[in-house]
Amino acid sequence: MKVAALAVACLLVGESAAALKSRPGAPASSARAVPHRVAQPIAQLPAGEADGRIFLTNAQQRQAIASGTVDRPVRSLLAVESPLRYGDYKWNDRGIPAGPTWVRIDLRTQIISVFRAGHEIGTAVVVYGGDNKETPTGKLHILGKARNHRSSLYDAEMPYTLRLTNDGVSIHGSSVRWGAATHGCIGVPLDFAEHLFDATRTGDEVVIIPDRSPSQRSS
Amino acid sequence: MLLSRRNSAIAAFVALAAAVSIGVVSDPQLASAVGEQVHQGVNGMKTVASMLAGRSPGERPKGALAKLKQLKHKRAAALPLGRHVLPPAAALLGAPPAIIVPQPIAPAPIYDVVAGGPPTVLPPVPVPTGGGGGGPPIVFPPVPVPIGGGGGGGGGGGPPVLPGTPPGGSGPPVLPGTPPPAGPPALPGIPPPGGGGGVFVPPPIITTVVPPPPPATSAVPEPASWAMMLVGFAMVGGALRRKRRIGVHIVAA
Repeated sequence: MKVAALAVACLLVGESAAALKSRPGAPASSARAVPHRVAQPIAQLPAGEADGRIFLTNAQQRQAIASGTVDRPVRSLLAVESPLRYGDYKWNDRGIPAGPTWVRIDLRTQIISVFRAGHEIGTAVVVYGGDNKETPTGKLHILGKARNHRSSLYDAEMPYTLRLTNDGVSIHGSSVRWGAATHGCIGVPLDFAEHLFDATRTGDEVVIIPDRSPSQRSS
Repeated sequence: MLLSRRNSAIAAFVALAAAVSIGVVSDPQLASAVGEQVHQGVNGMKTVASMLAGRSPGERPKGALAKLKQLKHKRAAALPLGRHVLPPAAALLGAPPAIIVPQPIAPAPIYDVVAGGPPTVLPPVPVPTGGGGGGPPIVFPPVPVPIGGGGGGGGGGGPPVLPGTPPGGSGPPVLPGTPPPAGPPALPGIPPPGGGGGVFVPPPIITTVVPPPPPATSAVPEPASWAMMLVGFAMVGGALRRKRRIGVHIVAA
C-alpha cells in the first residue's frame, strides 16, 4: 500500500518536472532531434539538401490518400515551421528530379502546393474568388500559358497566367493580402507565380479543393 | 494507531503531490508546454492534412465583397459624356485596350440680353414683322426692316416702329435717312442701308454674356458646416475601419 502510494506520487512529480522542462523555446529534445519520420531519401539528392523537407511515412502517405487530402502518393512536404503570412511563399526544388507536376489548391486554407515527382517544391498563400464569383473546383488542367497577359475584360495585368478554364479562370500573379478576393481566378504572389510558370507545362493537373461543402455553398 | 497515522501522512503527501501537479498543468503556459511535448512525441504521426493546414494563415473572412475592379464595359459606361471606349473586340484584334475618342465640343449657346428681360437664345428664323408689345423680349434678326412712312429719298416721318419692340424700349428712335447707330459691323452678306432707300437694317445685336458670378460665400465656415464635415470624416473613418476589419476586396480576376 505504501509503496503504491509513493509510486503514484513520484509519477506525478516526475510528470510535472517534465512539463516544466519542455517550455517553448527550450532546446529541442531528443525526441524532436530524431523524429519519427521515415528518412526516405530522394533519388540523386545529396544528403545535405534534404533539410527543410519532411519525408512522409508510408502510413502517412496511405492515410493522406485514404482521407482524400491528396489523390496520389506524396513523399515529402516542405517544412514550414510557422503559418505563412499573406504574400509569403516557399519554393525549394533543389535536387528534385524531373517528373509529373501537379498543383493542389485548398481554398479553405488558402494554400497552394506544387508537387513534382511526388515531392512538394513550392507552397504559398493564395487569394480566390469571392462569394458571387466563385472559383471552380475539382480537377482541372492547364490549358494555356501567358507570361505577360493583360485581361481585356478587367483591363488588368495578369502576369504569369496559367489558364484553367475556357472562360478565363487562371492562376496568375496577384496582390495577395488579407481580406482580398478575386473574380474567380487564383491569385498567387508574383515571385511564386514566376516559379510556378516555369515549373509547369500545358496539360499539367490542378486540383482545387472547395472551401465549403456543396450543401454549404447552396445555402 | 501508529499505522493509521502513517497511512494518513502518506495520503496527505500523495494529495499534496497531486495538487501540485494539477496546479502546474492548469497554468496555461505550462499546459501548452505539455501539449507541445505530446505533439512533438507524435510528430511523425501528423497527418498530411494537418501539416498543410498548419501553414495556413486562416480562413478568409466571410464578409460583403467590395469590388475594387469593374468590368470594362461598366467602366466605360461610367465615363463622362463625350468619351468613348472601343469595344473589347477591338482590343482583342490587337488595338490598344482602351482608346479615348474625344467628341467635338458643341459651341456654347449665344445669349443675348434685352433690357429688363431674361436672356433669350437667338431664334433661327426671322421674326415676323409687325408691331406688338407686351411679348417677351426677342432679339432682332439682322434682316432689312421697312420703316413705316418711309418714302423715296429718305422722306417720311413718324417714329420708327420696330416690330417686337417692347414698350418702353431703351433704344433711341431712329430717324429715317439717318445712318444707323454705331455698333458692331453688319454681318457679311447683308446689304448695307441704302441712302434714302427707306430701309433700315438694325445692327445685329449679339452679345455673349458671362453667367452671373455665384453669390459670395463667407471665408469662415458656419458651425453647422464644421459639424457636418466632422461627422463626414467620422463616417468615412468608421467605414474604412469596418471595411479593413471584415471586408473582402476584389483585387484581381
